[in-house]
Amino acid sequence: MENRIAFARVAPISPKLEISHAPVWKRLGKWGGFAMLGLIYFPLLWLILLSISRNPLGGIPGDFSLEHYRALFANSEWHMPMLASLVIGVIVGLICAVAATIIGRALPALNSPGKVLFLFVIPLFVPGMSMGAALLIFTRAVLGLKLGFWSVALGHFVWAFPFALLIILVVTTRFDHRLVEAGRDLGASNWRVFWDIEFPILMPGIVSSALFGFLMSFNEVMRSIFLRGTTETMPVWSWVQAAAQQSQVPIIFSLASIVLLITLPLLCAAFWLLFVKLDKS
Amino acid sequence: MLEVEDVVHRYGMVTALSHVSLSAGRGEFLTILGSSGSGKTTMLRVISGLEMPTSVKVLRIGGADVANLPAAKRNCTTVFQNYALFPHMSVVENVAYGLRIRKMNAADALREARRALAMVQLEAKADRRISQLSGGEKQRVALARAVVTQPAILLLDEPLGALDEKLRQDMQIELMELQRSLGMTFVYITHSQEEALTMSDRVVLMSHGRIVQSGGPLDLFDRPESRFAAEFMGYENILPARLIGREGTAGIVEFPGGARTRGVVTVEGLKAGDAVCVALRAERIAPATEGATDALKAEVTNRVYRGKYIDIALATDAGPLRLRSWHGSHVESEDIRRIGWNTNDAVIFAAE
Repeated sequence: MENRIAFARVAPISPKLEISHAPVWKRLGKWGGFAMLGLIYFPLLWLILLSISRNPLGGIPGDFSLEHYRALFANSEWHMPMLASLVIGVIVGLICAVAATIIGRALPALNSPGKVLFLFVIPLFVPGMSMGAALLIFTRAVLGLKLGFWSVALGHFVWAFPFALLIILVVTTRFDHRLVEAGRDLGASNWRVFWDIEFPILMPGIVSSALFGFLMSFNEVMRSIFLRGTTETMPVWSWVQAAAQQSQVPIIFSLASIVLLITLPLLCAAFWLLFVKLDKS
Repeated sequence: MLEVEDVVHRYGMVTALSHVSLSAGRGEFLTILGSSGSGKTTMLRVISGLEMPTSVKVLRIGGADVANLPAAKRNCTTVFQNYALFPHMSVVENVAYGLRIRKMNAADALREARRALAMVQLEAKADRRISQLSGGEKQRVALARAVVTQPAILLLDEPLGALDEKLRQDMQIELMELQRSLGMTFVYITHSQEEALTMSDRVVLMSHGRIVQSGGPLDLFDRPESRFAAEFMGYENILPARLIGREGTAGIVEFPGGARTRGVVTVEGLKAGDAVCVALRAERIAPATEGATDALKAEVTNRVYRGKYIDIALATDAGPLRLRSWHGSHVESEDIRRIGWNTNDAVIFAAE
C-alpha cells in the first residue's frame, strides 16, 4: 500500500474572523430595505392624509375633513378627462391582452427568443418624449390621423404592450406543451386544445396583462402630451390644473388619492393572479 | 392491430429511426426496449402521430391506414412519461376529456370516467385536483384517461419511470392484469430489461434507431444475438474467442489462452474459424468439483460483498471472469480453483 497519492502541502485555514464575517452586513440589508420602503410608501400615505386635511397646501396633515372630496365631486370639469382615460385604458388593456397572448405564445417557440424579446421590450427604455414625438409624426404624416383620442390610444398601446408581453411570457414560458400533445392524442382538434387546455391555463396571465395594459395607459402622461391634440386624459388634466391654478391643487390631491386607491388593488390583483394563484394550480 | 413498415425519421442531420418495421397483434403486449437515444420514444411518437416521420411505407392501426392522419384522428392513445395531466381539471374531468371530445354527453362521460377510475382503484379521488395526487396516483389517472376511450392500441412511454421500486413492481403486475382483462394491444416503451421481461409477450430491442433483436422475453434474456444485446440484457462476462467447430446449434470455441469450451450459437451463418464472443451470466458460473470435465482453472482476484450476493472476480484461462455467488459464506469461505457452467448458458455470437 505504498503508492498513496501525495498532494502539495497547504497552510491550514486561519481561525480569525475577517470583516466580511461581521454581522453588520446582514443588518444593513434589513434596515436599508426598511428605509427604502419608507421612501416609497410614506409620501403616498402623506398625500392621502393631506387630501383629507382642511389645509393641504400647508403640507402638514391635520384638521381632517372631506371638503375637498365634496369639491371634487361638485366639480364636473374632470369628468370628461376621466372618462377618456377610462375608455382608452379599457381599449388598450383589451388590445394588449389579445396581442400579447398571440405574440407571447409564438415567442418561446423561436430559436433565439431573447433577441426578439429585446426588440419588443425596447419601448420601455426609449425616452417618452422621443417615442411621443415619433408617434406624433407617424400618426399625422403616415396614418393621416387627426391627433386626439385614437392617437393617444395608439401611443398608450405602444407603451403598454411590452409590459403586457412580459407578463404573458410568465405564463407562456411555463406552459407545458406536452399538455397540448396529450390533448391531441386524446382526439381534440387544435381549436379544442387551445380553448379547453391552453387558454384556461394561460388565463391568469391574460387577465393580468389586460390589467397592466389598462394601468399603464391610465397613468400615462408623456406620450399623451404629444399625441392628445385637444383631448384631455385624466393625468394630463390634473397636471395642467395643478400647474395653472393653486386653488385647484386640493382637489387634485383628492383625485390623486382616489386614483391611487383604485390602482393599487388592481396591481395587487394582477400580481396575485400571476404568482399566487398560478402556483396553486 | 399495428403494422409499421420501413419507418425513417430524421431530425436535421440526425437519423432517429432507420428503416424500422414492427407489428403487434390483437391483445399483444409488445415492449420496445432501449437506452435513451435509441429511438424508442421517437417510434412511439410516430405511431401516435405526434411526430410525422420523414418516410414510412405502411402505418396501420386497427387495419386503417393512418400514415397521413394527425394524432387526433388515430385510434390510439398514449400514457405519457410525465403523465401530462391537465392541471386545471379535476381527476374525473381529466379522464372524461377524451369522451367529451367524442361528443358523449356530460353525464354519461362522467359516469364512464368514474368506472375507469374504479378500474384503477381511484374512484375515491375522482373530485380531487391533480396537484393533490401522488406520483403513483397520477400514473393511474393517466392510464384511466387513456383507456377510457377504448383505443385499438394503448401506447405507454416509460410510464413507471418516475415511481419508486416497490410501487413500480406492483404497477407492473397491475398493468399486466389490466391488459389481459381489457384484451387491448399495448405498446410499451422502457429502458428497463426487468420491466420488459416481466410484462411482455414480445420484446423489441432498439439501438441507434434500429431494431437489434426481437423475440420473446426468454429469447432475449438467454439467447442474445450480438454483443450489444448481451450487454444490454446484463451479461457480465463477454469474452473474445474463435469458433473451431459446430455440432448443430452447439459450438466449440477456443479462447486466446488456448482453453476450450462449448456453448449455444445464436446466429446463423457462423462457421469454424470465425471470431466470436462468448457471453456468460455471472450467476450461471459455479465452482466446479475436482476432476469435472470442461472445467476451467481459476484464481480468485477480488471479492465484493453486495448484500444479497457476492461478486467474485476470477482470473481464468479464458480471461477475467465474474462469478456471482448467492450462497454467501459457503462459496466465500472455500477457495475456488476450478469453475464450470452449463453448456446452455454460454452464448456464442459473432464478434463485431
